[in-house]
Amino acid sequence: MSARPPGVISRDLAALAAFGAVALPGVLPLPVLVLFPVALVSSLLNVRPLAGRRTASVVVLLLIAIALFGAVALSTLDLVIAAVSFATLVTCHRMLAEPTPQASRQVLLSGMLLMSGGAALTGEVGFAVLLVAFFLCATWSMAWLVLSADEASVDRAERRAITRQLVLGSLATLAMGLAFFVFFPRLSWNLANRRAAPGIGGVSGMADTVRLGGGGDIKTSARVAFRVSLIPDPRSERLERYWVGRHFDVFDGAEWTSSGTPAPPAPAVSLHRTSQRSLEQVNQDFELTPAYGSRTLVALDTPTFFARVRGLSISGTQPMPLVHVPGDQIYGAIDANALTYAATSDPGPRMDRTPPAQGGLTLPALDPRIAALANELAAGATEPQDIARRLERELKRRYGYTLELPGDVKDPLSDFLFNRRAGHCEDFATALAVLLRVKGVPSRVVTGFFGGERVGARYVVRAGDAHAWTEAWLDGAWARLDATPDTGRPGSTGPFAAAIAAAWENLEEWWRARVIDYSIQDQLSFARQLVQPPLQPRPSKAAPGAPEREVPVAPLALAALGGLLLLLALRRARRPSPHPASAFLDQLEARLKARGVGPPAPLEELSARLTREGHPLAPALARACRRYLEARFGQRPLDAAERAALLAPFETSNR
Amino acid sequence: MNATDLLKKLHAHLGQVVLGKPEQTKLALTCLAARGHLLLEDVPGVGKTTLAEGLARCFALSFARVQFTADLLPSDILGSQIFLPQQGTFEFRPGPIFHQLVLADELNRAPPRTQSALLEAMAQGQVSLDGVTRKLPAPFTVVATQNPLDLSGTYPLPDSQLDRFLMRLSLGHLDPAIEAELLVSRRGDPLHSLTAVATAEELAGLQAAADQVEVSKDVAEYAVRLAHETRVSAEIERGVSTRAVLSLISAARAWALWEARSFVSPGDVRAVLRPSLSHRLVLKSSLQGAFSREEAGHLIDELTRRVPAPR
Repeated sequence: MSARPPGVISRDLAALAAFGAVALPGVLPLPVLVLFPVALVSSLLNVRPLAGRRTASVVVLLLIAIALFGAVALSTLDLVIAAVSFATLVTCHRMLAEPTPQASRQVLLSGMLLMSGGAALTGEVGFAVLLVAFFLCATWSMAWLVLSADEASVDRAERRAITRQLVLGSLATLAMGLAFFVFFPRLSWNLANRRAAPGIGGVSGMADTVRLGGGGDIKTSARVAFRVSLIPDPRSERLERYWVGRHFDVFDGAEWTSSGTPAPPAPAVSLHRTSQRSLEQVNQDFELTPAYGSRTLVALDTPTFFARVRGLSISGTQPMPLVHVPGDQIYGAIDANALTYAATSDPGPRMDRTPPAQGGLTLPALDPRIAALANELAAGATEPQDIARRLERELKRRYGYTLELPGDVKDPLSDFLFNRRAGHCEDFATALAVLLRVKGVPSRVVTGFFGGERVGARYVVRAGDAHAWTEAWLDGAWARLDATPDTGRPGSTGPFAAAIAAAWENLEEWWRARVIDYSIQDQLSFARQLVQPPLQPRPSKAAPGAPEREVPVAPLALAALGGLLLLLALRRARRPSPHPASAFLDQLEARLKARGVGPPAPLEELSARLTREGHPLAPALARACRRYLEARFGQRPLDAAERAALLAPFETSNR
Repeated sequence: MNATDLLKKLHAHLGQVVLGKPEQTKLALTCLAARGHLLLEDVPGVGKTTLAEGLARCFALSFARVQFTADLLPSDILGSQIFLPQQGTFEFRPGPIFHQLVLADELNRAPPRTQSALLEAMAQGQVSLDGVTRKLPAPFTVVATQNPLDLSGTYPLPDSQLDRFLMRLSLGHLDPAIEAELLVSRRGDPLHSLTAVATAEELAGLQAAADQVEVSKDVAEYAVRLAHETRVSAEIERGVSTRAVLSLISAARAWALWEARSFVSPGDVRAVLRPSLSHRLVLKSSLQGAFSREEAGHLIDELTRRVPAPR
């Protein structure tokens, strides 16, 4: 095992960032996902099993390449995924080979390939963060590569000089990149617009069935399940509203399913056509993220219209027909990782007048205590309205909320009602629905989301906001009932986590608006803003008579700053880099000045003068001067220890 | 004995006859080590000839002294063909130039024709006479003295002639204390008792050692910047030539030997800058003689301050 040359760790970190960028969309094959961390840890521990086994490992790599691209040819694998997987393997291979500068350069190069692959797979803000990380680590590693190629000993003072130049260079590059981004015409090749990869992490609670009991976990993930913009905009920070997903009407004692039969696919679906359409209609533009994990469309209660569905997948964006399962759900007909669509809802009461299906009152064989409980809870009520309200209120009052699951029990409903007396939303929704049916009121369970919080101009709803509630058939229309105690409503996460999540959401929204969706129109309007003020000046509080023209200060300042940085960088680039020994001269002269040895003169002349005058520092200065000259003009470099020894006599404390 | 020790020994030895002028003797020795010709310019009686003769006597070199006068002819320096009546042939009788060290005393008293006779000898180390080229002995060095131009009976040296001297030194009057000591101690001509401490081979070795001294690119650029500054200066009519920069660097190489360094530092360049460049400048002011010399020296000091040295 050889010593690790400098720059290898930052190289590995750069590779990690690059790998993160392709792993983030969650589309990499599992072996690749596992292999990279192993290779990374091995490389960080300086264990390099492939060192010296060039031919064999390259043959293996080639075979894998043939397999991967064969899979692409058989169209079982997406081309981008195959390329990215192969680039990951190459990266691993080079990381595990001898840590020569050449291998490091190859790692960085394949890292760059991975970054561009990541750009093709996802354009999310996570990718942006990883891109910056890769940029920094790779720059650092490259700098070390260049330095170690020089084989000169690099000590601290030089390192500082190098670091300064590196930081300046990086800043200049960033500024130039920014300027390029802002001013170079954006072509619509749509590379960064594939928000379709499923990603890593939990998906929302939408599922084909609602099943009580059993193991598993309740989804409390803060990942965004969907984003939606509302017209008219309610302009509130939090939206305490129900988003309807699916309805379930058949219960077998443990599981809810649906009895509906799908209609043929159609481009749009209209529901609950009534003559009296209310004026409170809300139009919504949805974007279901991959974290949503289902094709079921959601909309505010009560949805009336769905259209303009587009599916986003790794291979692109395509329009999608809708399948309506009456009384159950509406879903996209084609498999896709993410969906966008438009929906209209009417929040008014008694919108859904679809009569209950056959199963609206059917019940499986139940624990006899349930009927007794229903009578007890609804005691005194005779009207269905009263029964429903009373049952809802009593369940809410008497039972507690918990996210702990019971595990495998024989009758989860009885277990909830009589044993644990605490459960989550599905338990409450099921209990209320069953109790209603026991009392002869048709009912069903609805799954969807509750909540919504404002991020930018839109609302986001998270996977952890998933919810289930009950609907009862009252007076010829479905009415919403929610027996889950308010504490159990989704969306109550810790304040700290919430703050972080909010910051991330804001960053993500900004990234989308300013980077991904930054189009040539935006560029044109920005450029127009630079050369001429907006045609209609914003209403300002300035006194009448103040100049009408508004100067776009911020963009101009930004441009000026960028120009200044560029100029500085160019000037620095043109100036020859200082000789390593010059830093020593600077230190020496600073110490001489501190000691009051002057007046300032060239070092050689000063040394000669001190020698003539018999100054106590003269011998030390003569030594230092000679070594400086040798290091600077005579090709005999100074090392750090010698430098310190030479400087020691001039420290102000040594009097 | 290495070059530095030899130089120091010579310096001490020369100091016995040239009192109170350590810098000038150091520069004079440097000039010799750099294979350069030396011009000593000052008023009469300050020790020019003593220094020149002392230099010659320090080395065991073949030595000739030519007193330049207004009626000196080129053939008096170079030699001439003499008809031998017995054999009926011409025989070449070499002049005083065919020595390893030639002291050309009061060079500017000779007419330009005679001064120019020295030119080829100094530049090429050879003499062409009647179509025959004869090599001069090696090492070959000319040490010339001259009186300031404002003195009567002098012919100014042509520029091309001046350019061939590596250095021009002026000694100046002695420090009063040293002058008094001189009056007390000196009995007879000390040059007569001065013995050689180095051989011609040792001088050749010294010159070879100077050739070995490295010049880094930065120092070379520094010398070029200094030379360029003389060319663009408002007070200088004509700056120095490329040959002058070459001379400057070779003088700096020899100067580095004093510090036993194998490379030239910017300080070496500065140390030899004034003696190696000042006589090559043509100033715009109409000053002559000693004033011109002082002025040129000051200008060079000024541009040393102005041109930043490599750090």
